[in-house]
Amino acid sequence: MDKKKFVVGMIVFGSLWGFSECIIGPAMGDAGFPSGAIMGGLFAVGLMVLSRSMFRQPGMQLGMGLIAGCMRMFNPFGSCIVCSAIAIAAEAALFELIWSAISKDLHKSKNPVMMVSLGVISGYSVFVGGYIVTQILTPIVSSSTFYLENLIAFLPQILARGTLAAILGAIIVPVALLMRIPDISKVKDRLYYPTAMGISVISWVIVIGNFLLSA
Amino acid sequence: MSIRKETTIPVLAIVLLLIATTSSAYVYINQSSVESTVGESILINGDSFEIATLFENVEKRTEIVAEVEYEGIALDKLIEYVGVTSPESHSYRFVADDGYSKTVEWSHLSDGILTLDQRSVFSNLPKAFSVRNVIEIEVN
Repeated sequence: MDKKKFVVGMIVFGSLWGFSECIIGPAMGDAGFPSGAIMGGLFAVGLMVLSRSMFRQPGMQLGMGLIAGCMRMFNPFGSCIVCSAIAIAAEAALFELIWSAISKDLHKSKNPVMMVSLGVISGYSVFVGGYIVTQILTPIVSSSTFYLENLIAFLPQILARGTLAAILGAIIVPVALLMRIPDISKVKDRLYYPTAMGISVISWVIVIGNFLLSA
Repeated sequence: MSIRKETTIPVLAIVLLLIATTSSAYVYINQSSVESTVGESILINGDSFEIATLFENVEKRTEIVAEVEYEGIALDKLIEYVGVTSPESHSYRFVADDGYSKTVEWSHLSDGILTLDQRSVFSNLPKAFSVRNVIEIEVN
């Protein structure tokens, strides 16, 4: 895999993830949808699985999480911007751990049970892990103290809310794995780079524009 | 793909789904058994207080969070009103009717309010500290 293509791919997928976290997530939350589970189980897992099956490079999703986390810093809304950014990076790290441990050769197998199972594991772990990280970091970053009792008391709610993320993961992972994906190494540079950079720039412009208009 | 993985991955997924559904059932049963007092009363330091009485007697304040203006009773004045001794030496845990809770220090209460719909709002803390449907304030 061409390193330049890999890095550009990481930027474009990370930018799309960040865009969805900053623009789509808050819009869904305002409309009364469970945005956390949808963002974690559908968008985050979907984009990470798609990029994984396109590039097949471990570490890419962590990089995507860091890019999306940076973009999240431009979102003027939400509880704790720094915590949310770190939570996105934590979600990506969790995904990397899961997929490195149990799915190295999954792309060779198109077994529906395996794909659905991996979707459940990814969706649930990414959502619950991200949620717990945010609950721990928010008090610490905001110069308050982290109280374990608060987390323990709310843990059943977090575990229960992960159900939707698990279901969405079970749908999006097989869809992403079964999609007909072009071989990136064969895509012509004059098509690949302008398209990838164009998508990235548009995502960043919209997020920063939204930040400036809201400030 | 190894046979071991073909067994482990579905089993792990089933275990996670069991955790999710059991937690959902636990939350549902727990919420059904907990009677929400939102709009009527609130438990502070073990004593129950009528919301209407508190709003008649405790100083009100306005706090602005993310460009939204909230009005409610000042939390530091509320703690003084209910008779907590040495309030600066305690921490305060705001508990919602769904089990969500956040603990803050006395210094945070000077920029905090409790709204009429029993929501804690702090202009000096992240939005995560805004607890909806507060049914109890524990003084620790």
